[in-house]
Amino acid sequence: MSKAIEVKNVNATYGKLPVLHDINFSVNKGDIVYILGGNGSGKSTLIKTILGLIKPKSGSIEIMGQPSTQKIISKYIGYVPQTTFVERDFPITVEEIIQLECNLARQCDLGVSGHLSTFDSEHLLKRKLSNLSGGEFQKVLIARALVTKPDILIMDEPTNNLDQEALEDLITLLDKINKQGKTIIIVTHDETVVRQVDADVKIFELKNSYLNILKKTI
Amino acid sequence: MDLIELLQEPFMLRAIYGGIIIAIITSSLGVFITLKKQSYISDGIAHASLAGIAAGILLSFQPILLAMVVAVLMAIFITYFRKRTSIAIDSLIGISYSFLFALGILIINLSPGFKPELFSFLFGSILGITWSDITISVIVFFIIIVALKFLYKKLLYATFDPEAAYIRGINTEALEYFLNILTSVVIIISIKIVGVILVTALLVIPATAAKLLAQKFSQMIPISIIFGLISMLIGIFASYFIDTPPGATVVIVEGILFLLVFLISKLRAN
Repeated sequence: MSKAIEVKNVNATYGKLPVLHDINFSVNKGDIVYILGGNGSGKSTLIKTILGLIKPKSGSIEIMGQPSTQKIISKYIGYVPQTTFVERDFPITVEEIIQLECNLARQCDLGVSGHLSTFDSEHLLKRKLSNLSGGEFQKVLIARALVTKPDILIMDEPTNNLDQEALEDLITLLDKINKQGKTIIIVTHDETVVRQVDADVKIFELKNSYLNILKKTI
Repeated sequence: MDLIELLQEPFMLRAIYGGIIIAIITSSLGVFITLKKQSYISDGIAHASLAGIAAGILLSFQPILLAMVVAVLMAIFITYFRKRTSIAIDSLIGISYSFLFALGILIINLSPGFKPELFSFLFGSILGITWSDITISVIVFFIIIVALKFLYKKLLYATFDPEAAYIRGINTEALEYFLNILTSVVIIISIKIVGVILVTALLVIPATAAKLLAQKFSQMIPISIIFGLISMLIGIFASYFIDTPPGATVVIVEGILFLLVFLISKLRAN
């Protein structure tokens, strides 16, 4: 099966401290992959390295069979950052956030409100970012990532701030997105989330800078 | 002299034209600087420029031009090292601008005698603004208009969510260089109004007031400009009639209006 992402012998450091140690893994097209890891395990560094935000000290990354560049990343990847990484008091509405993505990507799958309506959230469109709950904001960021019709969706700690009901909605939504043929990579510290998903997802565990456990189920 | 007579005085007309242009420039650029939480960078650049001003006064050669060179180099230095050093960026700015400000004081000490022009750079002298000052401001005004027309969406995205902006294909580092260099140019041309010490207020106060009032981002720049213009005009006229330093008066008016906006926003939230 052809690969969506292939990470080969990647090493990364933070200052002089090694954070990623000889990481090798690949994600097939259409897979759902969970990358598990506790605080300081290097999972955020791994995701930022795949996204081109951190340059690896050595090794290489291929996306859809091509060497990773900003252009390739922009073409194939939709990114859902941690909600805590975005300033919540930024004076911007949901409509402006999604419209901005549409304008810069020069495409707008299902229109500005289309993906929000798939999780019954089109009523959020005129709301200010500061008036959204954590779960609502998460949905907005997912909708923003989907308007560009990415082949690969990478989500950083998407389950933070979600209650059980919102979490179940998210898992259902990811399953739905995956059935459209999209590859999904989810980075999380929360093993309980992984226990709730279908057994046929891939789970990588990152521990002490090593990607040392590869399981099919948890 | 009443208001009608005052408005016919060439020095007052120049002050009003210059003040309006500077208010529009600083209030619009200030939106991005404030939302990026970079007001300390503009403060650092303003203080560092004293080294250039002092060198200009000592050499009797274009203090504003030399200040601009120092400010632009400081902007490039900060932007370059921001992601390339383990030293916290606020510490880096604090060290570099303190050094350059101190260097400015040492250079001033080298040139003998009383230096009245130094006071105009430190505290501003809007009533002494010249047509060539206004011409330079108009050029920068058009650069900002063009930049906003072509880079508005990219600047907004890079300000709101820099990592996602990079993944969307935006050259966030180039944008940051552009924004910081433009900020340094705007700071230097605004020094004539309020001086080195207070210039950051023109960038930060209108934009912060706009942030409290705006219901969406598209309202931010218009509100910031209106706030900046009102404060500037009230400040200029008030300083003339009550005989106070114009730069400081403009900033005091901005502070009072900001307090009003803050109270309104609190009342509205409740």
